Amino acid sequence: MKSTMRDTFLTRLLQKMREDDDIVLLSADFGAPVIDEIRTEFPDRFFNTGIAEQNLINLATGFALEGYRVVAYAIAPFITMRCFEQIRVNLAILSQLRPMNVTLVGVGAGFSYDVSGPTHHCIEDLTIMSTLPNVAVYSPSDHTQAPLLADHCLNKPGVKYLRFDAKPHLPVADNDSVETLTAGFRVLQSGKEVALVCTGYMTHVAHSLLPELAIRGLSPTLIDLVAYNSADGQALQSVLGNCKRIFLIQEALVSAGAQTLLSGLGHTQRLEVIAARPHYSFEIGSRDAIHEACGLGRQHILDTILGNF
Amino acid sequence: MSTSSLPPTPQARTAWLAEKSCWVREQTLKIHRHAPETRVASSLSVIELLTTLYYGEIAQCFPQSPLHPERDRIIISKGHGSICLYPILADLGFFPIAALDTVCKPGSFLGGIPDPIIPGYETINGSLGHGLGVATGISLALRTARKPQRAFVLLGDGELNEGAVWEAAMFAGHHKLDKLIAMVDCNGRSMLGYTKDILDLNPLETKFEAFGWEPYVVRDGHDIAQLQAGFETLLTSSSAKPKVLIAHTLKGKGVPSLESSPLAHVMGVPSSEIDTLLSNGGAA
Repeated sequence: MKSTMRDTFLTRLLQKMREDDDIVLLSADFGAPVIDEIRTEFPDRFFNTGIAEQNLINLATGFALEGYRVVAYAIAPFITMRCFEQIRVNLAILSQLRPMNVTLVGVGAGFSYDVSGPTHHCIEDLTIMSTLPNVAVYSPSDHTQAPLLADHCLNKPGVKYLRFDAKPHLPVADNDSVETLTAGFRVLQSGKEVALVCTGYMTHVAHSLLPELAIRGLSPTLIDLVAYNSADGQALQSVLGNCKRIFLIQEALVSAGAQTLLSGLGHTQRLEVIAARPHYSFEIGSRDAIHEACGLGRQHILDTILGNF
Repeated sequence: MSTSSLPPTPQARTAWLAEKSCWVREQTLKIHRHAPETRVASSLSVIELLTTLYYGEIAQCFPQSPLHPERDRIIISKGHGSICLYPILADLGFFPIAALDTVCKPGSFLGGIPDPIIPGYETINGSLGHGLGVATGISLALRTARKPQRAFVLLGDGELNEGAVWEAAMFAGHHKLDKLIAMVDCNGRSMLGYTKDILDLNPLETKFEAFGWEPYVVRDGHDIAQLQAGFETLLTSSSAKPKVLIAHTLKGKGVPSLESSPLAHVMGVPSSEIDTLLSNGGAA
């Protein structure tokens, strides 16, 4: 049966709010039928911030600092990009020092608000949210994953961003299980030589192309990547280890920086990146000292160059 | 000294707080002398306000247990301009007073902009316009949890240019967060000059009123008695509104070269000038 991630997630959230009184839902004036149920049943734990995403994040921060588990809900491009600096300062940085449990839910992944144009298309979020240390990004493909993510995120301390498709879909496979969230991905088809690593709606698209590929003699491994920036690397490697070619298929931009530039020039295999590690530095010290702490120290650069020479 | 040292009579209390403010100003200048990276001018303008808040039995805090659940939450939104809080927190016992000599030195926890690795600081500082929204969320969360504590938040006037401040002001007014107390350090100068020439905030009192707040204007934010009266009025008010104390202050208060310059925010004070000020009995 077709359903939206939004509806299955919120239905599970409503159940959890009935069980636990430390959960609050904040919405930037963005609704859903289940939201109407929640705000009727829990008028003291649902707050409409108005069309004000920056304040949505700041309010979520305040609630989280007071020990509440917070779900903040808005349209995907707005809850990530309108308030990116609020997320960076008050959630990504602060959560490194103070215990916080905040789940950001953005509806409208990729081009799912298709006819609404580029303001509502959300193609930068996966990259920019993944640049933030201390933020786990989830990009589910099915509405069956959404209620699992509700439990997973409410139980997982820290800051999470859930990227939900806006449209109802049939599940791409049988109902998903919590094992997917443990590993951060699921294998929808095991194949040889070629792997398609897909996330969100593109998992559906790639899945629909399997028959055509099969006619041409190709049976790729099909991976549905859910924990976009935190999937179990070793588990993923065990699946991808023997593949000669890996295709990453996502309804989003890739980072447009120098790494992408060099990769596009065919240097992926030869490219070794030395960059700041994903961690905020609170240590007081010189620039050199900060470099040492974040993986940019002179000796480390020297060792990396010589070690790969 | 701590709050317990406060004399019993109101007049003596005011004098005691004024004397304490002088000590805080001296300490702030000493910090700046060995840590010239600190933004001293905007720290000097809020000394009497923060001294009254912390020592004057306005805000409840627990130096030995900084995150005590019964503390009032104090959010410092104008982080750069709160170096004067270092001596206050140290004096109250949040951390050893000897740490004041380490500001901006390698290995210290006291940086040029305070972070919540410092006992007594609740949130991240350094990026403006966030504090009021976070304090609003804290205040609403406290009310939701039926807790009586207040949320205080210190804002700079230049910071009020940030749109997110007014998103929060609108929300707090609508939700009648009567235990939220904003304190605006109206020192009239932003980084590049006078706020009246950059984006005129006046009439500020009326703006907050229009957003559903109860304002109180302190004409001289360096006059302890006026600050005490302001806090007293707002804290005993029965209005179902968030409160804002608008304190008119002098940026760089106590240092003539800063007091007179529109660019005081980015100016430092040479060691020799600090030495002279301190040897003359401290900056008044």
